[in-house]
Formats: sequence, C-alpha cells, structure tokens
Amino acid sequence: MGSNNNHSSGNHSHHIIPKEIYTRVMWALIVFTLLTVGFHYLFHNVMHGSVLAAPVAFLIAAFKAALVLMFFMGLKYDKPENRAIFATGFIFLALLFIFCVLDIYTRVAQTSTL
Amino acid sequence: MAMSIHHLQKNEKSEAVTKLWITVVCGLVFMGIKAFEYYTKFEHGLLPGRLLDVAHAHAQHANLGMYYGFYFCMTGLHGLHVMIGMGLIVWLAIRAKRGDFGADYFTPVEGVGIFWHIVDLIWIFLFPLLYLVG
Repeated sequence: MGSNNNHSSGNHSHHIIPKEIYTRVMWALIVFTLLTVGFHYLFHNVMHGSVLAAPVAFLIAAFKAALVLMFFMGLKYDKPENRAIFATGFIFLALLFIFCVLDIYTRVAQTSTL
Repeated sequence: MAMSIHHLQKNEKSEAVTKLWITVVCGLVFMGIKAFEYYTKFEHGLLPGRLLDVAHAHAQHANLGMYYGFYFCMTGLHGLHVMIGMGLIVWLAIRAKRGDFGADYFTPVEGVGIFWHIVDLIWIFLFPLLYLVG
C-alpha cells in the first residue's frame, strides 16, 4: 500500500517490507518458541502442573501468529478488506472451537470403550 | 519465503531464487525431523486408536490411542501441506530462475507465500497443543 499517489495497478502498489523487519520477526519467533518451551518446563517440571500452562502457551502462540500474519503475510500493510476476510475465517474457526470446548467441559467423566 | 518476495519487489532475481531454495531446505529439515519422530513413535507402539500397543508403549490407559489419533491426523495433514508447499516453492524457484518473476510480476510467489505462511501459522498452534499441553 504505502504510496497511493501512483495509480499503477497490480504489484506496483505493494508495500516493500524491509529485510530487517523480517529478520527481527524471525528472531522474535525463535525467542518466543524458546519461551514457550521454557514456560512448559517451569509449569511441568518445577511447579508440577499449573492451570496457567495451557493459557500461557496459547497466549504466546497467538502473539506469534499475529507476527506471522502482520509481517510474513503482509496483513499489516494490506487493505482492510483482506483483514476482514481473514477475521471472518478466524471468527468461524473460533465459533467451531467454542462448541467443542463447551462439549468437552460439560462432559461427565467416563471410561472409553476403545 | 517472505524475503524472496522482498527481493523480487526490488527486482533482485537471483537473491529471490536463493531464498526460495533456502525455504525448500527448511521444509526438508522439518519433514526430516517429523520422519524421525514418526519412526520412534512407531517403534514404541505409539499408534492411533485401537492400534495403540498398550503393553509395549507402557500406556496407563488405552485412551492414549485417542491422543495419538489426533496427533497423527493433525501432524500428518500439516506435513502433507508442508510437502505441497515445498512442491510449489520448487516450481516457483524454477520459474524464478528462468526470470519469469520480477518487480512487476510476482503474484504466484505471493500466493504460494500466503499458503506457506498459513501452514506455518497452523504449526504455531499445533506445537503447544500436541507437544506441550496436557
């Protein structure tokens, strides 16, 4: 996006994301992956289980996903329409998950007949 | 992948080709790790559903087979998409080497890039889900 003054259609209007941003995002993703593993170690091996383990892991994952979406997929510099399209997909995915989670958490404990 | 688009936008064609091949190599490394992982799982009798070798796997409960059902379906489907992505990137690398793409035409590279990164995005969630939680 960026410059709207040249009205050439197609690829010309695309924003060129600087290389440094990609390298920084890559390092951030690596650091956050290590952080996820670190937290897992803390919660499971030091604290021997915690209710925070899953929320923390998925919070970090959500942050990493946001980084990939914004920079690697260029959504940060893209048209709002494309953001809306992605958001729609994501909302429906979340809706599906919500019903699955409701199902799991309202179940009576039972033994599988596998 | 993203960097190859950056290079194409600046018309740096040979750098773009190199970055595409680096992406393929990364994909290969990932699949190699997965192959090794699957192999050890099979060796320990950690198989999905009814196939789970409860005695060999020292499983406390046959329900572990259900976990491995999810595990193999999710990592398997993800792996399949990684392989599709790698195939597409090889195709892009060959076309980029031929000089098909440049600052004024790189739509296929961008499209495959979006696919590759959504597969990556899914792995970001699968990793804590399957390897860390629970």
